Amino acid sequence: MKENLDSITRRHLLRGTGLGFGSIALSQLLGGAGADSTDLLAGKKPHFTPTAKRVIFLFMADAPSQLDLFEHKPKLTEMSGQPIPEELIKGQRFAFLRGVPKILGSPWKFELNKKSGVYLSELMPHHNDVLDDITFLRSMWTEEFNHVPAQLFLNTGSPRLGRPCMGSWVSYGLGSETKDLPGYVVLASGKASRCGTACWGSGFLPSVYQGVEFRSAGDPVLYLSNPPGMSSEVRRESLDTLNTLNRQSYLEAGDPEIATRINSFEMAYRMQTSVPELMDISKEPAATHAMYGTEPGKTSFANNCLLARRLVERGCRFVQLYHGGWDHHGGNGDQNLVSNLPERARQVDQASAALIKDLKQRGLLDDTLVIWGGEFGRTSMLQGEYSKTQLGRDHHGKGYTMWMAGGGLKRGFSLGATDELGTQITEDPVHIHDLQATILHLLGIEHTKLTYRFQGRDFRLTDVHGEVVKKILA
Amino acid sequence: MAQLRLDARNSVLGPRPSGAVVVPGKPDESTLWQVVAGAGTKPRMPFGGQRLPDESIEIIRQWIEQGASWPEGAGVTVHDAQQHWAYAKPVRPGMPAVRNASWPRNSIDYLVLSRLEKEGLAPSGEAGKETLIRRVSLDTRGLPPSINEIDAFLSDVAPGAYERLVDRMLGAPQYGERWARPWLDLARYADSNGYEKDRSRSIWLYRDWVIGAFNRNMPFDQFTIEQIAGDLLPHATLDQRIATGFHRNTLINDEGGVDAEEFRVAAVLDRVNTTATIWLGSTIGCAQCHNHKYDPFSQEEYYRFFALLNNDKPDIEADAFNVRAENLGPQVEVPTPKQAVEQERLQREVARHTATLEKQTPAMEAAQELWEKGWEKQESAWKAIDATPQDSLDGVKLTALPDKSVIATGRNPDQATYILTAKTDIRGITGIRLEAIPDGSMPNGGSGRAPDGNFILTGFELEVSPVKTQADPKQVVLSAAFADSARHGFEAERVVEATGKTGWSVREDGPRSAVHEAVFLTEVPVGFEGGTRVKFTLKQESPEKQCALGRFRISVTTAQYPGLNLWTSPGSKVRSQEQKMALAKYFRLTTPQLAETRKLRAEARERLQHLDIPTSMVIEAMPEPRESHILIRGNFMTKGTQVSGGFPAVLHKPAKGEAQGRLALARWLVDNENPLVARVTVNRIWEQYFGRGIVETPDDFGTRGDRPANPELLDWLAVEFMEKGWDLKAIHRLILNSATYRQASNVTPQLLERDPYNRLLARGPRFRLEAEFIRDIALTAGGILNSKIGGPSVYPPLPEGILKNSFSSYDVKNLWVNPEAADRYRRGIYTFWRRTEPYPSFLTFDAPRRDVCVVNRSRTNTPLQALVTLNDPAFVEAAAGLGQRMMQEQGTSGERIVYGFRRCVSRKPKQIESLELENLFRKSLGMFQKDPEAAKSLASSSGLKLAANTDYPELASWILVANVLLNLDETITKN
Repeated sequence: MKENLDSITRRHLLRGTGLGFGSIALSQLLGGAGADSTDLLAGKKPHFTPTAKRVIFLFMADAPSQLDLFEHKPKLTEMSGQPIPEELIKGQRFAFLRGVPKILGSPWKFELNKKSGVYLSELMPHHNDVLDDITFLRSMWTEEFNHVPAQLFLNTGSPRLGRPCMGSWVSYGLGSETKDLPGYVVLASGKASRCGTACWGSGFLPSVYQGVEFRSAGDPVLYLSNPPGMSSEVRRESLDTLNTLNRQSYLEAGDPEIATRINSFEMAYRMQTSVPELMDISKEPAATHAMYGTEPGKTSFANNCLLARRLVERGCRFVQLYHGGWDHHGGNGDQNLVSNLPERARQVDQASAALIKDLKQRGLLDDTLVIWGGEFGRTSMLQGEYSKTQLGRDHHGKGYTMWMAGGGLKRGFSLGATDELGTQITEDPVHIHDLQATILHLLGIEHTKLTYRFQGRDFRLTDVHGEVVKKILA
Repeated sequence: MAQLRLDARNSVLGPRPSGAVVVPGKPDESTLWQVVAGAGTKPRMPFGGQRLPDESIEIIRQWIEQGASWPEGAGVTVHDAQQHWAYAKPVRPGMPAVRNASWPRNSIDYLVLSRLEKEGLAPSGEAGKETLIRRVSLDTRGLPPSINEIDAFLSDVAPGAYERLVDRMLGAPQYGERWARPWLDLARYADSNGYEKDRSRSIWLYRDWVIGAFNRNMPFDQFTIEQIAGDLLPHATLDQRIATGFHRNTLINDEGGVDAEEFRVAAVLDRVNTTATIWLGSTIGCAQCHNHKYDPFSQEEYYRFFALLNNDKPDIEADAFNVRAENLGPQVEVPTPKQAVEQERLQREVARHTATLEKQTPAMEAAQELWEKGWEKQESAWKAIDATPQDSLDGVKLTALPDKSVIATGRNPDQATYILTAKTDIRGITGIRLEAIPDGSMPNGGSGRAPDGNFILTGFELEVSPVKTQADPKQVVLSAAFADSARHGFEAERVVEATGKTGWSVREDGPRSAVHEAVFLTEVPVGFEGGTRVKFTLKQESPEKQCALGRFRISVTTAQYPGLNLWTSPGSKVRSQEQKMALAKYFRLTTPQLAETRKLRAEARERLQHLDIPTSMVIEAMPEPRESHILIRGNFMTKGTQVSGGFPAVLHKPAKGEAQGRLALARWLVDNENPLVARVTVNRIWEQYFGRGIVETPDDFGTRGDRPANPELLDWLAVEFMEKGWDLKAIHRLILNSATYRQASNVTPQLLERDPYNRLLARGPRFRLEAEFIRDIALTAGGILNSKIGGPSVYPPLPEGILKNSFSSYDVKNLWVNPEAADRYRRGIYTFWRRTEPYPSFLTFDAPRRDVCVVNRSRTNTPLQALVTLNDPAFVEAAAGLGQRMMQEQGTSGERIVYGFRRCVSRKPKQIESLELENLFRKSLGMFQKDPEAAKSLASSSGLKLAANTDYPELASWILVANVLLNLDETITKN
């Protein structure tokens, strides 16, 4: 009996029958037949040759003010305090502004970067270093004017809850390159997300495509740690037994799902090592910390930028950073433009630029797409009363600014513009669906062809809209 | 005849009654070219739109001239909808002859076997008894059988043992819980509103209604009618109103600044789509923006359907600045029997005291007379409150002035709410005075911001809390209000009545420059020892709009008779009858002689407020139906033609021609003439049993959906269902008792290749269970399940930091901390369902977020799931419970393993399995004996009650074995 047992236990057995834990997808070994979830994350071919293989989306949740960070509008400063000409805001819907509000010039100075010919706000000094690498989209627009619908719109192509987000669509379309880490990872800093986990949910796509949040406190991935008192050796022993028993079931029942499950447990075990290793930035060289402004052990946007680089290095396809708290309506709390915007800008300026520089020096920028921006922008008009110490701007979707950099894009380029007062788009409008179509295009996906059937309808990220913004492609 | 579709080859090139659209090679004879060029007698197209560019018309011409080449398969194909199988009424098929006549047990089996024989396949043998009892138990109760139940079934060798088992299990109260689970996905049931605030809502009574309705085996037609239109049934019961919570499960967006109408329309659209998905298996939602591309539903028909559901009260009444309330829209109070008794008693008590306080007796009159004589000696000293105005996001700016008054500047919104906070050391506050102070900056130099300088105050509320402790703020009961000036119909008393529509407004004939005052009496004196925090809320929500206060001051007094000057001031000597009554009321509400009565009334009212009577959100019709329009491109702002309620023409006509309103809709849905509803319903039930429906697209029975794998089987079940009076348990019993269901689920590589998804049913079902049941199984095996049925949703522990994730967790944050041990281990169906942050392990196991109707969950297989069952504390606690039970079980370690194994998968382990587990036990025992601290740490972190002399290494090793058992593929799988 003893001999019999030994001969069919553990990895020997699994190796012997081709169900090893190697990198070959089990579905391939099994010919793909019959499994419900036959390796849904196996790498898939894009529609055409991509120029970007992975995405880092720096999501500035709650809408940063383009007029105080990127858009130099001397006319706005000149007319500050005057009522806005009514024809400029006719028919627009605002969250809070009513009547005829007053114009608000930026309280901050803009300086021309002579080399690049681009004006930047004094709040974004480090961006000067990367102006030649990024492409500004100065004419973004969205129909939505409330946070959650607009955040959902940018993430999922629909303002309602229930649709898969961009990262899920990309995972669904291209699969995952890594077997040790999830293919779609989310990192959060700043004010908490208004959508909870809905902004990285997979909607009606299988849950294997949902974003996995790597948390900076507690277990980096939920339930990653063994229970107290269970060492890695004890866990390994128990997993070996589990695999043997599951293998026994597979031999009996013949259900390929069981083989997939054995693989899932092995990947879970590998994640127990690979994720903490990834999250530990303390061993990065001092120069790197200086460049990003990172402090190991803290929760910060800077730390998350560095983690984003470490993730894409390890084959993660889609990394999304959330940095919330840009909702500068005014008042005397953290929505005060005067006191809080410089603080928020400081939190992201250096690290965003560092990420670009770091990717570039590692040769990763060529095939990594970095996106920076929020769900909408902010109004040229003042919200509330004018005061030197308390200012605010309402939500503004018809003309705001994002930037992108990397794989397949023109560098040091600027697309689109708004009028002198920043109220309306004057050239090259880019709708959210156009942005989404363009992101998919850079990844080698034809956005009209990436579909999933739900409730009898073929859904896509770009709904029935979206055109690739060809002018920014290299 | 299908409409013309220019993207469909057969529509453009095929024959049409009005002549060929395109005659290849002959543009001049082709209607298409004629109409776009405006060449023929027919009106130019696009009709009323801009002419196509010349180049485009030329391209069309050239294409036709060159032969109108259109490869087969390009574009879409138009089907004649009348021919589509699902729109024809199901007819009961005859029973086919089968060769293996001894196999079938009921009609299902004849239909399945006949198909198998055609395919040259044979059914699998019957599964073993242990497999069968576990399968039946999971399918009927969502729980594994107990060892006693298994042993009883194994020892019942009399004929009919299996059928008796099925009957027992279908009769169990857990049947309702198990079958409510998929229904709650359809109903998109959740305990929070969704979107940014994602506040908690109270609608668990609807969830309990579903469980109860299944347990009572309510016929499916009634089940339908009560959920869609229970409130409209004659003499609707409270239960029938609770049932309408079904369509209140829609999302609510109360983020600041939203357009309430936009989200009201979104909710109605969701109700339309959900109704069509559940009862018609139809993707009618595609017609929201344009005529359906594939199925015979026009956009007009969509909005006629919409008109049937568009006549109910909204979630949010006014514009978003006024959104508050944790529960929005109509709801019912549902007291428990005990609460109902107490509520009635308290209401009677309040009424009794009120009667005393309102009764004018000769003794009271005499006392009042005496009191009036002593007026000279009375006075009320007012102390102005240093109130800090809160920022308001709606653009109003409130500023405190040196004289302690507050002035409003900035935006003047239609409706405004002012909030002020203050601290005071004064105790025994009997009255609050609100002075309306004229100011030169206001219109007309008045005290209000209305164009004439007046104002209308519709609400005045006070919340107080002690400075010293953390107690929750309490609302102060104001017993009455009096003013020195009031427009007719706008007396200060209206503010206390808080109707929201009217309120206090001063007389228009008086001088604008006068300060006016309103005095509010507190029912009992207010103020805490050590100081009181006060929050004042001034509401100005009159439909007259823009009539907020401009400048005002708040003062308080501790006088026995607050605001006596209202009565004693010069000019008030001669009183009208109304004033006399007001004075008498004032006297009774202030005189010490009735202080005790007032105190008792206040106490009774407070107890009434704290009865915590559960509420449930319900649908309530508007007094008058709304106008409904086609919404162009589905946009709520672009209204097209007005439409009335109606049903899609391709489907059956309503009985008795009844075509308006929800009740008509409900009856139409479950009309026996409806070709879809019975098929769609039995198909979903079938899917729960076999993992896939007979139609593999349970949400789409349209032309683009899957065709039934066995049409006769589907139709037979559908007809049976209707003819047996929509009896759900009868359908369950039929399936459970069939030989088809009882087959073993093992599969050979040959069969797997032939029929990977088991659509032909040559084997039994085998698939991973759903999220809630995986949890339930672990808790059951661990012996820690709390099997209480129903009640408010519960808060099992969450990983640290989860709630910090979310912007809007403020209103539930505290609830998830330290859940009571008893509620920690309830069935998954009772876990609080928070839409922006669903319970993590459920999400990992493919639970939807419940934002929209979901007909079938995906079934993935991921490493994150492995981490849940390995390490989620709920599963570790279950493993600890199971480990402890194994350790306490008498016998050898082998026998203990058998015991634990059976608790998880019902069968006994094979020898090789047993040995493997024993081996693990021995090895881990060795490891834990070397590290007893680790053993203690594992054993004591898992919620177990442990004796002082516990052998930690042994217990830890059993926990480890139990953890493996709970992680077996077989444990989380229906086999």
